[in-house]
Amino acid sequence: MVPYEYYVALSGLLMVLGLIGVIVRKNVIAMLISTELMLNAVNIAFVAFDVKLHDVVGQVFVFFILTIAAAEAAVGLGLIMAIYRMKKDVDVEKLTELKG
Amino acid sequence: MELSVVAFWILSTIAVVSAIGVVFFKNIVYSVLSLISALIAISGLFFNLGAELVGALQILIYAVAIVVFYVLVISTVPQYKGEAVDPKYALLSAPFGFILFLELAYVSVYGLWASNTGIFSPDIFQQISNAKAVATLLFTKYLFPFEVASLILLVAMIGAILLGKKDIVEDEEGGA
Amino acid sequence: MEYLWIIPFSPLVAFIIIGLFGYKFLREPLSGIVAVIGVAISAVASIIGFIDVAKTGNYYDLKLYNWMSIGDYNISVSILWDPLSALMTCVVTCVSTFIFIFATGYMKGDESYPRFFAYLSLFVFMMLMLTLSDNLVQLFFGWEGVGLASYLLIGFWHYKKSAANAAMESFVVNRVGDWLFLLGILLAFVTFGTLDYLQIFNKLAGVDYVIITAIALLLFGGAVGKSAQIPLHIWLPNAMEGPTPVSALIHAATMVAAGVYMVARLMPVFASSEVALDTVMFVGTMSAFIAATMGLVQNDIKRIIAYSTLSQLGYMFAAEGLGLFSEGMFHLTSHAVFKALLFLGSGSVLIALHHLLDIQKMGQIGRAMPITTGTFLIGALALAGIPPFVGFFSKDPIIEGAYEINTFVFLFLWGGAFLTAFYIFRLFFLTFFDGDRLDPHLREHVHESPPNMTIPLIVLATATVVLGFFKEFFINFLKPSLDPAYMKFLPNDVKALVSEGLSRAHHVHIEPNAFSFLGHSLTSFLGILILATAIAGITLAYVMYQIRRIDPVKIGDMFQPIYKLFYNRWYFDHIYYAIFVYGYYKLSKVLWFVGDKVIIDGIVDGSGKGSVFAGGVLGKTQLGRISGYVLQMLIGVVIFLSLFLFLK
Repeated sequence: MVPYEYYVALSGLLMVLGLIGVIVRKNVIAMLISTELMLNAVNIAFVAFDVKLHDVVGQVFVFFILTIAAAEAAVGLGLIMAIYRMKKDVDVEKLTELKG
Repeated sequence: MELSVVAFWILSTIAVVSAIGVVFFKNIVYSVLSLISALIAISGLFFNLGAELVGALQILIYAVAIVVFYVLVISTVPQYKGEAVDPKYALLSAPFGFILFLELAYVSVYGLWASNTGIFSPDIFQQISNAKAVATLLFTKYLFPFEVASLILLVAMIGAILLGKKDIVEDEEGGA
Repeated sequence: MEYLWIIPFSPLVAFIIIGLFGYKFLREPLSGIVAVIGVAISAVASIIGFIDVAKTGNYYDLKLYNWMSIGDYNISVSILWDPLSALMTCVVTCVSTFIFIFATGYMKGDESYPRFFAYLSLFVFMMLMLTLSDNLVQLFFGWEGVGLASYLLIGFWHYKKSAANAAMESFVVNRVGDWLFLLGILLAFVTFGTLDYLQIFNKLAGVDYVIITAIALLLFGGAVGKSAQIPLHIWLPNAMEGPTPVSALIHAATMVAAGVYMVARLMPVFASSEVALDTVMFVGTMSAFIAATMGLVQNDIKRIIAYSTLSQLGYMFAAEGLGLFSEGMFHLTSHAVFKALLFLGSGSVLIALHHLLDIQKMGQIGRAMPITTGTFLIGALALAGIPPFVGFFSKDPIIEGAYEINTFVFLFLWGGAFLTAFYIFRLFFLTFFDGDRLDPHLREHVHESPPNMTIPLIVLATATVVLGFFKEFFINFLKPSLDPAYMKFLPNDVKALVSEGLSRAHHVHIEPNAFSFLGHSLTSFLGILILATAIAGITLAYVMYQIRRIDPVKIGDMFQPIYKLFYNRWYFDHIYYAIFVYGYYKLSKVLWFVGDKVIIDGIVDGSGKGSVFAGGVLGKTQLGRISGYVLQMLIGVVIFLSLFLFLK
């Protein structure tokens, strides 16, 4: 049996990869995909802790995270559609309304 | 070597490689395909851990439903022509990401696992299935959040429809 | 004795009625009438109470209302009705009544007529709170209240800059004294744990001499401010900017005498300390003499009388310092009457001459205004100390007592008496007789004042003539309040203490009976000397200003340094201006530069500039690109997580 710590370490690695994806990608859709990766990393951690600690609450929360991920994907993609319609582009470098 | 250990290493390798693909593929369609691969690998890990219900939901909701959204949007938006990765940000984020990973791994491997243990020991899973245990908790203690989650889905659906609709702002304000 | 509460509250009711309805409904004659009725009621009530006390010699301590509690001490609004307060209250209410009646004529046609009477009624209420109080807090309330009323009335014609300045000056100078007075009250409370006079007197015996002296001196500091004694006298002459009835009521008869009254009221406290009595004595003596010299050379009719007030208040304080408290209070009473008479007489002159103040430009108006002239002459003779007027019976005992007790004090008071006689008759001759210096236009319109102004003059003149013969009655009447042997509310050990403090005056015997005192003065060397001094002063004034045998200008040139010193009021105003006004101005400038310019502006401007600078720097981090923000967040998370791991 693999130690549960490895699962958690794996979740950390996926998390960092997702984060780097959000930072480096210039395409807004790709950034959104990277967030999905991060959410999955959290799911792995939840389930790993659950099994280690003999509980199922983490899995209940994974269920909620799935729900939220679905909602987030729907709204986020809707926003991307709106942005695209306005700017005719999905390059994150063009979306700098907040520049100081 | 036990089967589960072999499965872990294989599945985790697939997941990590797919994640790298998600991040670095220039073509967005490849990225989405890598995501699907990663999601399936992760659901395999869930099965490996004994969380059958979550694993199944992972495939059903993520790998099917959510990815379909992405494919739909990608097919609507024309292909992105610019470079995939901003090298300046890649250079900056790589070391920090690496440090973060080291720290997370350190915390995971050597961190304290001091926490209360629950009642669902492997013996109990022998008697009742994982799905039953999760569902029991979901429909008793977490009933209210469960219902709220459904409401959130509804709201997200309406929001997505409104956001995606063409020329909403002008029409609505003109009518009002 | 429950009806005594009417005394202070009847003027208050008048004040409220005039204040609320004065301009809308009452207007000119009615608001004056309401004020006169208000003060007349309290005059009647106080006379009834006075008669009761005179018959029985009792004292009454009425607690009307519990104002506030401090620990186990309750400050109450109360009335202490004993001979001393009864006398003072009667003086205040009776003199006020006549001055109010006079004012209805004097203020005729003034557009702020109701406001004037509202303020006057407020003043009388505050003054009665002061005199009737049985504790130091209510005394202080009245003390500040009369200060406020005085301020409002000096600046009554506030559109005149000089009047507004004078009001401000009186307020500021009084503040110095009030500050000392408040410190005295606090020290008394710390020492005795109570502020009721009677309880303080009961606890006097066991208290340290130094503390008693400190309390007495601090309280006397308040009296110096309120009674305009040297060195806080400078406000009173300038306070003559107010309407003349105000000068008569507040700045001659009542408010400025509050300091004298307060010292007499707290006689046991002052008598417990030799140093305090000596201070009172010397301050009074110096004020009596110096103010008289200042009065010699002034040309403003009201200011001369104001300096005379300073001087006479000095006599009262000197009497109290000498231990002759009853004589001091009797002089207060007589001074209130004849000084009110003199002021009202000058007010009558001012009305006739359309507010011409310079006596060098007056003259020969006596024939046109016989009543004013006659009554003014009576007042002037009383001030000079000529028998049988009341001033003789009240002032001579003080000078004679000083002769027996302290030669230094005697010399100055004696010299002051000569100067007093001289300056008041200089004023009299220059104003009413002498050559024809008056502007012909004015001269045609000079006329006697209407009856509501002359009747108070006649009444006060009558009182000036008659009151002196009641000397014995007053001295005996005041004994239960001012003679330790007769004071019912003192325990025996305090009686001994007070009696010892007053021992400096024990060997002085002054005839209480007016007739025997008159006979004694006319036969003894001292009596003749004092009388001759007064007559000499009058004669000199007659020679110099009426028949002009000696030219005053030449005299002035001959003694030019002294003349200049007197004319510039001993340079008190200049010195105060140089030290306080100019020094304060310089200090303010320094503080303005250091405090405002450098520190406060530095902080304010600096914080503004710092914010702009920091904003400029931090604004560069606002890339506007989501990736940038997430990267910053990643760096932050890494930093905090590292800190957590390494510092754990």
